[in-house]
Amino acid sequence: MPDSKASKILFVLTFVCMIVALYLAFLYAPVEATQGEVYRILFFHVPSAWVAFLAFGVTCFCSVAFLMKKDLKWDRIASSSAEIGLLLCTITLITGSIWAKSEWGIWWAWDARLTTTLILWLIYLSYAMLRGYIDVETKRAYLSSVVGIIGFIDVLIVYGSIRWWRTQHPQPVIGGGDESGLAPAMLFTLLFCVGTFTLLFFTLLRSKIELQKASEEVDYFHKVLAQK
Amino acid sequence: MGYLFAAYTVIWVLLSGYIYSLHSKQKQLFKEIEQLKSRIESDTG
Amino acid sequence: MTYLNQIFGIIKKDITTELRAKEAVTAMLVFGLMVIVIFNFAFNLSSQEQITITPGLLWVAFIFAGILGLNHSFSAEHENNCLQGMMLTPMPRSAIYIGKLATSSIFMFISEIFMLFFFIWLFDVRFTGKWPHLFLVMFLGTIGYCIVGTLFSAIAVGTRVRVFLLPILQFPIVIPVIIASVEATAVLLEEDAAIGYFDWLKILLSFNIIFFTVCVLLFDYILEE
Repeated sequence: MPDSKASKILFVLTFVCMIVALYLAFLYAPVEATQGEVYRILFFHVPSAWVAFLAFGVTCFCSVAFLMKKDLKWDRIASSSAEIGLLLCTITLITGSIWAKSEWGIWWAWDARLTTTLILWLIYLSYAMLRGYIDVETKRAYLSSVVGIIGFIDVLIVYGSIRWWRTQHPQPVIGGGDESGLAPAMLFTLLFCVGTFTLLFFTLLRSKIELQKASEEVDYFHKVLAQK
Repeated sequence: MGYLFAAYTVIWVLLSGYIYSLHSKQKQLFKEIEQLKSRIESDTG
Repeated sequence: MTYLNQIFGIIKKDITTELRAKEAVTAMLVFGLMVIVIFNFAFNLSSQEQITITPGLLWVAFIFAGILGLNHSFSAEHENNCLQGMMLTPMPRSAIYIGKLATSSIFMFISEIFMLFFFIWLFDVRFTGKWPHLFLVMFLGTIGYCIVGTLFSAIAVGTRVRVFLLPILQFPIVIPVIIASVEATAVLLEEDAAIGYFDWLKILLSFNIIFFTVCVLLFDYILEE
């Protein structure tokens, strides 16, 4: 990439961390007693869920900042972050589903956390679709900021109401949380993976923002040429 | 074990696909910028 | 005081238009009725199953019909260029929002009441619970649905694809309203005393309060160009 030196370093650092994370997840962390090898999905599943949530949080924050400052810089961060969040949310859903199949024998369970993640995904999918349907830049920024803010607030309420709804009903066959008994080596690996994914998020965010700037530049040059 | 393999494949395919698409878009945009710049310069010159 | 007058002005204008054209309520009602008829073919209901899925069916009909009304709410203004006219008046934007919210909720609520009676009539529902409680759920659920719906309707008219964008934006956001309304209705339909009814009402109420505040604050930015 013909890019600044800083982002090259960031890219290499992220790559190295990903390799180390893979090593830790597969070779360093011990086998789990009840689940066996399959539990290693955890080391990439949980971090991507965390980063997805972080990314949507960043989107919400930057949307608020945009509406207050009216600077398109914030909108650029908000939309880039939402796109990366959507990608990681997709990864979370797919890996989670695969894990569920091996553990619970079903691809999907309408449990609070799973359902909330799915709705989170749908909300930001609609955010991305909305952006695609508006041509005027400032209008796109205003309208999508509003959706970005509402979506994030809604997720918190969705989680609360679904959890409550499910606890009022009989529970399906769900093993539930396994965070309870993590060995120190597993915990270390998990934390390292979370850190790596956070780094990955910022690397991707940076290059996505660069990309948007470049595409705005192209539009600008086209305008200049058209005026001549 | 098959599930573990499937999950990690999905993660890596999606991530590298996304990075690749970013990369190729960026390359294309930079090329376009260069072309446009040279066109503007030749127009003014 | 003038702020309230402005809101009532919008409400009066919308109701007058609706009384003359009868577009929104009729469309919602007829569409809702069709949905109910389709349920009959889609689910071959025996009376045993009926009681457990009735609240869900009822709310699905309400929600689908409601989308029509919400779509109409701003696109009618958009087509006649009335939105620009309203924005030129010195009226605060939030007054437009609150006025629109009120009329959408009223129209949706009226058509819901008709749909409810059609539903009871066609499916032979024996409702032994308390009517005021049922209307309260419908009322709060409808307002919650319209709080976000009115805002999204205004967003959708700003895009190239106004008709189908609204449900895509709306449905994931109103999930808490749907859960709470369906569950509260289910509690009322079951014969034992209304356990948990007020808890669901609390969820509806807090959703309404939170999103009403947020939407009033955010509406100013939507009509910005």
